[in-house]
Order: sequence, then structure tokens, then C-alpha cells
Amino acid sequence: MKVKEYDSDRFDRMRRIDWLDVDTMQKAKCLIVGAGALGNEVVKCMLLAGFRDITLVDMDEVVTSNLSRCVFFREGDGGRNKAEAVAERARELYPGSEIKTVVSRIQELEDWDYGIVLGCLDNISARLHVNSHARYHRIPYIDGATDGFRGKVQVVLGSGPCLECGMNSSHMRLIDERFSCTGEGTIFVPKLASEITTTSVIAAIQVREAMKILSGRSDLCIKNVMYYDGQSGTTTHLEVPEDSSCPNHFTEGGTNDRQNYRD
Amino acid sequence: MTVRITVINTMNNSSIRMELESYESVEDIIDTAAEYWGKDAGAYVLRKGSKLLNKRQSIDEINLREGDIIEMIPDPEGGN
Repeated sequence: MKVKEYDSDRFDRMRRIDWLDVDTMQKAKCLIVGAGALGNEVVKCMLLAGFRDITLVDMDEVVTSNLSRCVFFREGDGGRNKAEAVAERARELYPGSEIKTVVSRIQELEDWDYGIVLGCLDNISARLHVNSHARYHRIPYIDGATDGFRGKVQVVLGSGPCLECGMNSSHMRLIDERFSCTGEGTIFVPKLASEITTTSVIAAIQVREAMKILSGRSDLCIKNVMYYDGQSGTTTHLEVPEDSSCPNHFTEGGTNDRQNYRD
Repeated sequence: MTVRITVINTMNNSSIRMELESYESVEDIIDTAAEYWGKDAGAYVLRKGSKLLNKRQSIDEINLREGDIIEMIPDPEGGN
């Protein structure tokens, strides 16, 4: 046997994890909402892990302050659409991958035929929108969020608590404040603290949860939310009780439960 | 019945004591905390042990007892 034959599969080391289903991950249709700091890191990890059918949604443009956290942006990208800039460079990581871009607000996305959704957003309104659509279509949704050295990952499956179940009046107050800031039907998104190490940790965990779900191992997922504190290096896992009055639990119309993707 | 509890703000380690009636809800705790710490606190959740508290649950339902401590955890919003 020649050396070359030993080294023909880029996913050889991953296939040595017996429960990991690389073939299913490669076939999965993935929706990534947001191509900012978390979106860049999530796309990087997904392509290196073997995901190759990715749709990336973002309406925003690259600005200079993105360059401290976004691996796919360059100095000359100012003014370019974020999703398109990521897609162009990310393809080099995994030839054969297909990264489609949608340059619009997530509220304008009509097609929800995906196997998994990863949220890389920067405001609660957009998160609620993705949460309700993912929930309706029974698509597993993995939401990531950061604020300085703090971060969070929540896994929403086809059944059980959703993102909105864990929210309260403090979230609604923020939505009201940010909506009323513009007065034009758009959301004011404040410039929150952010740095790359926490972004990387949160994005990596999001992708790892996606790998578990698509490998038919939802049982290994975070239940239901993980809070990360990068200053102390600690994580806290909390169970979210299902809210029987949550509107998303009255509108579950999807027929295709993708909780165990391989089934 | 009245129970006295402590709410710790994990963002700055300050705390407040509250007197609650059994019919009051988790949302009442959240609103009182918001009033005390101001809206700069942003979005947050309340935790008791390993569970995040549901806003509609009453003090009775979450089995809150005299001297219990619950934590207020900031809920990050960013990602850009």
C-alpha cells in the first residue's frame, strides 16, 4: 500500500469517532443566519467538519471593526456584503462545498427547507423570528450569542422548550427600546462588546451541537442552554422549562420532525 | 404566606432582598430587579439551582422557600 492511499480522506480522523456521521453531515442542508463574528467562525468550523451545503443570510456590510473577529474578511472588504465576502473565501476551505448567499433580512426568507439552522444574530427580534420559523418547520435550531467575554448557546429541538420559552419581560423591554429608537419599522442594533476568543468558543460549540444532532445523537446535546463566562473560564448548563403559553407551541405545523436527522 | 429571598446580580455581585407572596410570579421578581438595577442590566434570566425560572410560574410553583438565593444571569444578545 502506498502512503497516498493512507491519506486520501480529509475526514479520516473524524471518522475515527465511531458515532459521528460525517456522510449525513455532508448531505445536510444548513442555514446560517448572520455572517458577522459568530457567522464567520461557524462557517469556518462547519466547512472544516465536512458540512458542504450551506445557505448564509445577511443584509449587512463589512466595516473596519469586524476585522478583529472575522477570519474571512480583509482590509479591502469595506462596504461589501458580509455573506458574499464570507462565501467567496470560505469555499477555498472545502472545495466542492456549496455556499449560497441570501442578501436580505431574515424576515424576508421564504424557503425554510433545511435540515438544521444556526443562529449567529445580534438582536432578539431576529432570534425570535428564526426561533418561530424553525419551530414551525421542526428544524433543529442552535442559537449562539455573545457579549464581551460572556456567551451562550441554546439548542432548540423539534419538541421541548424553545428560545421564547426562556425569555421574559427584560427581553421584551429591549425589543421595545430598539424598535422605538428608529421609529421606521427597523431595529436599532447597539454596538455591543465583542472579542474573538469568546466568539470562537461559542461558534465551535454551536457547530459541535449540530454535529451531534445530524449524527442522530440529540441525546448528547446541551439541555437546554449553556452560559459561558470567559473571564472565569466556567460554563453553566440550565434546564429551560417549557412554557405552555408560549405561542410557538400552538403553531407546530411541520410534519417532518428532524430531531433525529438520520431517521 | 410571605417568603424572603435574596436575588444576586451575577454581573456585579450585588444583591437585593425581596419579600414575596406565594401568588406572585417570577415575572414580578424580574420587574422588581429591573426597577432596582435599572434598564442598563439589559436582558437577563433568573436561575434557581440547575433550572432557569419560567416567567409565568408562581412563587409556590417553583417551591421558593425562606432564605433561598436565586441568581440573575445576563442573557447575551450580540454576535456580530
